[in-house]
Amino acid sequence: MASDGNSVVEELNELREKFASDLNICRDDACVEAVRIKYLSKKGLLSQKFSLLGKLPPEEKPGIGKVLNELKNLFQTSLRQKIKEIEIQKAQASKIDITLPGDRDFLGKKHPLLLVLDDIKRIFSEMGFAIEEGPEVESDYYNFEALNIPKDHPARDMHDTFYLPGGYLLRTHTSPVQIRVMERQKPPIRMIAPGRCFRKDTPDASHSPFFHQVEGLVVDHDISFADLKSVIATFARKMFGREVNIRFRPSFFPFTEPSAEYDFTCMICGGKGCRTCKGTGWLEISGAGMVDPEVFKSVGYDPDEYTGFAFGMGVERLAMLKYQIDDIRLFYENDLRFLEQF
Amino acid sequence: MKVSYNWLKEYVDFDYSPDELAYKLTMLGLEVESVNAFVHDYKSYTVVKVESCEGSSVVITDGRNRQRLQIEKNNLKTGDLVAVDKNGKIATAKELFDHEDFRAVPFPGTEVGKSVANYLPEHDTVFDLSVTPNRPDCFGVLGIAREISTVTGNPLRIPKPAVRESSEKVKEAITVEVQDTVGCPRYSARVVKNVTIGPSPYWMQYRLYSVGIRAISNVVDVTNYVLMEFGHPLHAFDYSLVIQHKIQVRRAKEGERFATLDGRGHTLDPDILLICDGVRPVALAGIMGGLNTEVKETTQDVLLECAYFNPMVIRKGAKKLGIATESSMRFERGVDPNATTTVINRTAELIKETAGGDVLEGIADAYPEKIEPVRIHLPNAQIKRLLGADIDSAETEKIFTHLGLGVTKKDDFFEVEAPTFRPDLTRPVDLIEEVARVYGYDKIEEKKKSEIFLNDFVNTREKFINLSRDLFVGQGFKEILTNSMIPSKDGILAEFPEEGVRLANPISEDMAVLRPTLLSGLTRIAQRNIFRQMPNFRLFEIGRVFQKSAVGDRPAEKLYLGGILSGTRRPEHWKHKSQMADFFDLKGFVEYFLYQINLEDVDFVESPHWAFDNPSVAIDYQGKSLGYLGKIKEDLKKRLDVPNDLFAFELNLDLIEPEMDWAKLYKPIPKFPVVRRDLALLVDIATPVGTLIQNIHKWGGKYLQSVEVFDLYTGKQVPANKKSVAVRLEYVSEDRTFTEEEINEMQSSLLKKLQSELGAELRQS
Repeated sequence: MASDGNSVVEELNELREKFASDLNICRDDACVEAVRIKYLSKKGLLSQKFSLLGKLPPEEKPGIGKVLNELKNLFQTSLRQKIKEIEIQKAQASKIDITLPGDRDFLGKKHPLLLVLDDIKRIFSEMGFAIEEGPEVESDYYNFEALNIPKDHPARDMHDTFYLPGGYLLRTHTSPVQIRVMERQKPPIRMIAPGRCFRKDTPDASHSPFFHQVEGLVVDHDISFADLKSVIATFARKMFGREVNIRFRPSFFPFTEPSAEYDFTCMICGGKGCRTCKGTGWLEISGAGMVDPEVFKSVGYDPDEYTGFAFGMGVERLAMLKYQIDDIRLFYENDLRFLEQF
Repeated sequence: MKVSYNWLKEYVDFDYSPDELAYKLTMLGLEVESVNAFVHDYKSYTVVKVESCEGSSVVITDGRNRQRLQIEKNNLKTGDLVAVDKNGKIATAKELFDHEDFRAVPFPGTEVGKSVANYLPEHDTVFDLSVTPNRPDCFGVLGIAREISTVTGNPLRIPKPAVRESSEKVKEAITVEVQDTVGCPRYSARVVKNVTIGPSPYWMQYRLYSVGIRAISNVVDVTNYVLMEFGHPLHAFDYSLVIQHKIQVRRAKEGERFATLDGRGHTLDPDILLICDGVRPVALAGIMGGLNTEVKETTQDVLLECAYFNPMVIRKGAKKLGIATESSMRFERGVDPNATTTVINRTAELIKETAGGDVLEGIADAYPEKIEPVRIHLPNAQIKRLLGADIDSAETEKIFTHLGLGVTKKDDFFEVEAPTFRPDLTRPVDLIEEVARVYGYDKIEEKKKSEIFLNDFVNTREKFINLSRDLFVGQGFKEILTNSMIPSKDGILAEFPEEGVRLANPISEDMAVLRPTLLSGLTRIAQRNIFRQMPNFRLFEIGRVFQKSAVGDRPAEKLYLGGILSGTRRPEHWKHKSQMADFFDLKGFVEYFLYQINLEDVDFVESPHWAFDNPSVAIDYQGKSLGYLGKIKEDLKKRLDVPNDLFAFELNLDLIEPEMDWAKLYKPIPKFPVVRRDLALLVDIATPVGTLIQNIHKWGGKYLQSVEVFDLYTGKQVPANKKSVAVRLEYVSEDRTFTEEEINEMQSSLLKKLQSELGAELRQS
């Protein structure tokens, strides 16, 4: 080792650079500790330089001594800083990136049509209606004759029917369930019959050869048309909102007299008139009416003692309105991208 | 039914705009399906005369100038009046009446040189009405006008035909003989001789075209005009072709042949009512006339028929022959038997007016038994009872009067006579509907019943179905709905062990058989989504299936729940590698469902199934098969053209639902600590793990509470014919904490038994 002051300063500069590069590569506390030992322990590289101090000429001692002390301070500060840096890095590495997507399972989904049917059932259950069911394969008697639709009657044209061997048929409406319930029990009756129905319609955007219907029936003493209107109005408001109004128009069904078609305020334009309601402000929903005395006779009820009303509604129609679906076939295609939306 | 605004105005006064009228009609029950406004620039057409006509070369004159024109398919004759536009082109029905008819329109009744605007209104609106089958009266303009008169209160102007008759008596010209008075309660006939067949006058053509009927010739047009006016069908025969001048009404004989006006031939049977002359059929009664007696240009004498046929007979016949005409449609619904005289007189009057000729004196009328109007007794109280509204009895009376009913008002009831043009009114309730309809359904106020009627109905089936849906939706399944009618060539159907129930009249072979299983729809929807590049899914459907019944034709209807899954176990995610779903995912979903409905003692038994292979598993419970699960067979997948593995299950909910025990009773939570022990057991590679677990339960002692498999190993670390099954056992006691010795004792006695029963050994690590 050189013993003149200048060469010592040069050596110390080298030492400082070496220290800096040693410390720089450290990624953890153990490495920092090793650097500390290498330079600052009793036999460390810097400590060795202090021991050289005695060999220098006296006039250079104070200057070099000062440089050595500064170097020691610098090393100590750098070590502390490095430890802090490592701490911060560690904290960052363990920090969770909450913007990454979560780990989801496949979406379980109910079919939109059945979601609407669930709503309908819930609303009528709240109104005290029982939920009844009946077979999808029916006899001519239950589907037509007991409902005052005799053979060779033009009203049969309203139902294009699928037939099965042995004179059976696929029910064209859930009205036969009315008959089955009335045969089974005496009034009072308050029920709905949801279910799948079939009509021989070629499929297109607004027709499906199978579809879902809810039929309602109330029978008791002194049930009137005014009661029917209030039930339909209550349903409309519970289903589509308090601002919805109803409209009844005269119509014809063999199993009701008087018969009506009922409309709801168009929920798309709020009744102002739009494309969906063809500018009328009303949406046609379905049919209703007072149970025809002939129907009561076929189940052995006395029409002088009891009156009642019946109504129907198409679940597809209501679901298409609710979700603004423009093609009925989407319900039965069951495309995952469709099912995921509801 | 099409009806024009201008035509309606001929019979009743009203101030409604076309839109207001559409609303009024709709609210009366005559639903207006469309409103079409027409505007014609009739001012730009002028009437000219055809001066000469040779082939396609026509010379016309407007009184001052002559012009020669070429017309293809010329239907004009010398002397015809026609309309020309500003360019001198002869107007066709397309231009004048918006009818798809490109022939020139002869225009009798107008004057040469005058503008067409003098004759035809430039504005009209045509309504398309949906007339319900109970209202045959509204299949005529007059019937609809009557409806309008009930809301306006303005009188109805019914045409009162005045026929100038000649001295020749109809009785000498024709005899009418009705053999089937059930099928034909009334037959009225008139004869008009020496008519001149030609185009009908402009106003009649305008009316017919406005409701979509093509003008043909004066006599035919008159019958169509009166049909539309009164809603009562008529027929005109060429009198000279009616052999023996005799009309007979009878049923057809089996196999009898007949050609209708449209040129089609028909083979008949006794369900069909026929109009015959002295020797042969001349018309299918109420449906269509025959080719053999058609009115043509050469016709001089005309026999007019106006009848009342039995609605059921006409309907049955028309259905059988597959013919629906303007005429059959009206007879099926029921025309007015007492209107034939007025209607035939109106026809005779208009024929004389438009085609000239001599109307023979009298009507040949076969009406052996008069059909009387129905008398109905209607107590006032019934109206209120059914409608829930108080309607003033004076108002009720007015409604009946305007509707054309005979009415006598008493203190607390009405005596009403329903005319025969309203065959739908036979009972008090029918009259109540009329009152409500005209009074206005919208004026009946909603009423909430005050009595509380508590419904004690309980529907556990509904509850069970909803629970089942929730359980599968909760496991990531999407609910689907598929057609109950499946293709006759369906692959699933071909494999299904029994024959499917076929529809007698399917729309097509694609929807011809009732599904005997949900797997048909499930695989089809799986295929569709895979083809649309969405190969990862879990789907389920709850629905009815139909299977041939051992007794009778009614198919057995069963409620099934089916599911299908394919693709990855979970959606792809950055954190884990994607794994394909397999049989154990499927089994887990089904096990979870059965666990949640408290049905735990079920056995999963390897068992052959028509849809599944490797594995194919039956779910058995107390000797019943509740359903199946497994992997869809290779050849079924090939048929679907799907290479992906498909795992599916099907459960019979009709069998499962009654087994569900809704009463869940609380079991106390153990007060003492649970002791867990892990065992790695070496067993023969062929020994089912299920058998091992059953044995552990059997020999594990009464404190053994659960056995869980947490590892399965085959490979280098164990002998080739063995597998290592790692199980975790849990012991619990209700009254104390076990000592180490007790546990060891239970374990060693278990191990001894497992070794002697199954040859199982503790794996040495």
